[in-house]
Amino acid sequence: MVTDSPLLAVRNLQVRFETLRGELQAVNGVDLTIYPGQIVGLIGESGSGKSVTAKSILNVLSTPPGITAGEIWYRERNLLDLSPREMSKIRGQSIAMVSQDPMSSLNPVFTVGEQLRDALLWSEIVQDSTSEPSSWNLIDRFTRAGRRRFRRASAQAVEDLRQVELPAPHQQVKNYPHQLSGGMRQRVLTALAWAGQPDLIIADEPTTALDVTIQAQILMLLQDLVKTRGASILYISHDLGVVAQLCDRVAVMYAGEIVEEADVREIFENPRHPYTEALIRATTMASEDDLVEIPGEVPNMLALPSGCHFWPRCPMMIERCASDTPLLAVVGPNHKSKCAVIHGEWV
Amino acid sequence: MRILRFLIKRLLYLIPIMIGLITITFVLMNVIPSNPVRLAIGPQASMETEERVRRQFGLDRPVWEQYILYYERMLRGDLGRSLVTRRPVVDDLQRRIPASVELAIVGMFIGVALGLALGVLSAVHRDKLIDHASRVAAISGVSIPAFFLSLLAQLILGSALALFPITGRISFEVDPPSAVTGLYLLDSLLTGNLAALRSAAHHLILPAFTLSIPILALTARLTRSGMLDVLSQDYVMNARAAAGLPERIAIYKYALKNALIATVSQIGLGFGALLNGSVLVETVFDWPGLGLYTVTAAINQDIQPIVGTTIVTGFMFVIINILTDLTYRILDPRIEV
Ligand SMILES: Nc1ncnc2c1ncn2[C@@H]1O[C@H](COP(=O)(O)OP(=O)(O)O)[C@@H](O)[C@H]1O
Ligand SMILES: [Mg+2]
Repeated sequence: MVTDSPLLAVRNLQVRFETLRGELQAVNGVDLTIYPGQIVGLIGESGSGKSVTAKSILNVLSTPPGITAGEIWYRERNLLDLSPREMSKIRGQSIAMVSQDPMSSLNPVFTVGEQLRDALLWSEIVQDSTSEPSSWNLIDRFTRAGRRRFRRASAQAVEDLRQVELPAPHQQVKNYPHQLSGGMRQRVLTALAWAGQPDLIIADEPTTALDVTIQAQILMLLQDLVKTRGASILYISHDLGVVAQLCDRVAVMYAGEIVEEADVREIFENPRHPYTEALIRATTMASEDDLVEIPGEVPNMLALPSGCHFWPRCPMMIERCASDTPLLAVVGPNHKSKCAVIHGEWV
Repeated sequence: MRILRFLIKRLLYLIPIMIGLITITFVLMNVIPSNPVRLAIGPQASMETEERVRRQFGLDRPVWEQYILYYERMLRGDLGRSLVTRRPVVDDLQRRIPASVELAIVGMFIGVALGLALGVLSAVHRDKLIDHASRVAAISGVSIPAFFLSLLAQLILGSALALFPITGRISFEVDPPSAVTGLYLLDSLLTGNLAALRSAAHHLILPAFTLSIPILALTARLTRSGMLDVLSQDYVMNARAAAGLPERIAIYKYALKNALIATVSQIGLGFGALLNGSVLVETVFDWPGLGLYTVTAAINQDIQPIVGTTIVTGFMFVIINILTDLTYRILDPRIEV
């Protein structure tokens, strides 16, 4: 399944915000590689920079950050070099996001049918290579061709909702988001993200707000869609359990950096970074819907500790950890870790 | 269905509001230290005449009986007679309400349309030149008194540049359109009277624009803050990140409709400012509407017209509020009635 050329390759991504209280390096030198058909998990505590990483891949960060540096290769193109116009053709059509909170991610004043219809309509327009896409096509109900397109997209919307197993899709298209349950909304969001037939889905904690049963259903749905459509997923979560169940490969993020990366079995059987170990321990100890807690305080991103950012919470810490910065080094087959301490020695 | 229920409910509320309004005007008439009968018959008339007139209007009866009589008159559409015009107040109102309504509608329309455009542009280009310029304009708009603005407009655009007529609703050389609604623009359109249409529109521009300024400022401010709030919402980012929609649609369709809700829900407040402004604007532009009528009546201690305009204005205020609430409900599907 894994071929040689990656679908997405993020190289040395840097994202910095100018905030009122100072400069904040939300993402610092992140590398991520996703091959076609692969499900990659990105895990880490809240505030570690997962969402910022995801949003900068799609260039939809709400406040423009001070600096976005590095490279984001999608197939043969660096997304950071694209014009806004070219980038808008990538969004939704090649890479799409299913976001964090199904409650706030759907527009409250349009029916779910209309929102899905617009996405489908736009996707058809972009993929029609005979003409340059224009926003006009999204409101054109005045020409015959326009009306035909609208009808087709509306019918497709019902079909897509059926595919994400939304009950009674014919009725649901006429409903507003507030009339749907959380799980139903997450299904609509999933359909929305798939509307443009993207080959990479970025799922940013898509099940956090849902209860466990619904969560499992959404995960099955994602897996199904990957199998039937052959897309890749970047699955962002703070929940290791979900990641273990779903992903092929895992990257662990701490304070804006990737601290460990390996295939999913390897990382659970042979974790090399103390932070990963702590995450795994916390997960196995926590009961099902408890919040995963790691001892110590979540780092203040405005004043990160020097050296390895994890040392204040690290049980393996030695003196050099507070002064020297460890490198993300190869520690095994397809396995990298950013901890330089082995058996109490800096190596 | 939801909308219909809302309308019926709100129209029923109109009843207690009108009762309140009538009661207040009644109380006011009775506590104002003036002798309406004497004012009506003039200082030359004899005491006997005064007595007779007093009896004729039931003013010798106990207060509660007068209160009932007052309702009876209202229901008959009898609002008394103006001392100044010597005509029944109802006739005067019939002539003047359309003038005011026309001015108010056009003023409100200009203000809301320009205010929306300005508010949206300032939010989308936040902290850019257009945002700063529109903020300055909005602050000046609310802080410059309406009469000053009217005079300024008359002086510069009317007198110095002679672009617009300074007073009146229509040129003396043009016959007003035959009355259907009393709104000159509409009537001249309906009767196909183009000369009247041109003249009426020409006369309307300056006062309507002056009147629109406070509304414009209010709308721009509300829309800007509403739009900024909405633009930072997940669903706007999601329209681009998940659905892949172009930014223009994300802003002008997905964000704007949400921002409009906040604006519309408060625009009713602007109507109060509009009514205040219309008294001054009508006076300065000699616009034959309710505002000018009220001022003339107040100067002459002419109580009946004041009562009449109070009731009419109160009624319009309520209707406008029902209309804005209605729009708000149509825009926002989450509101239950
Ligand atoms: N628009 C922004 N402006 C300033 N700081 C931000 C912004 N967005 C995120 N951050 C900061 O960046 C850090 C990473 O946030 P995020 O990526 O949302 O974390 P998570 O891993 O929970 O998704 C946090 O410290 C957050 O406060
Ligand atoms: Mg997040």
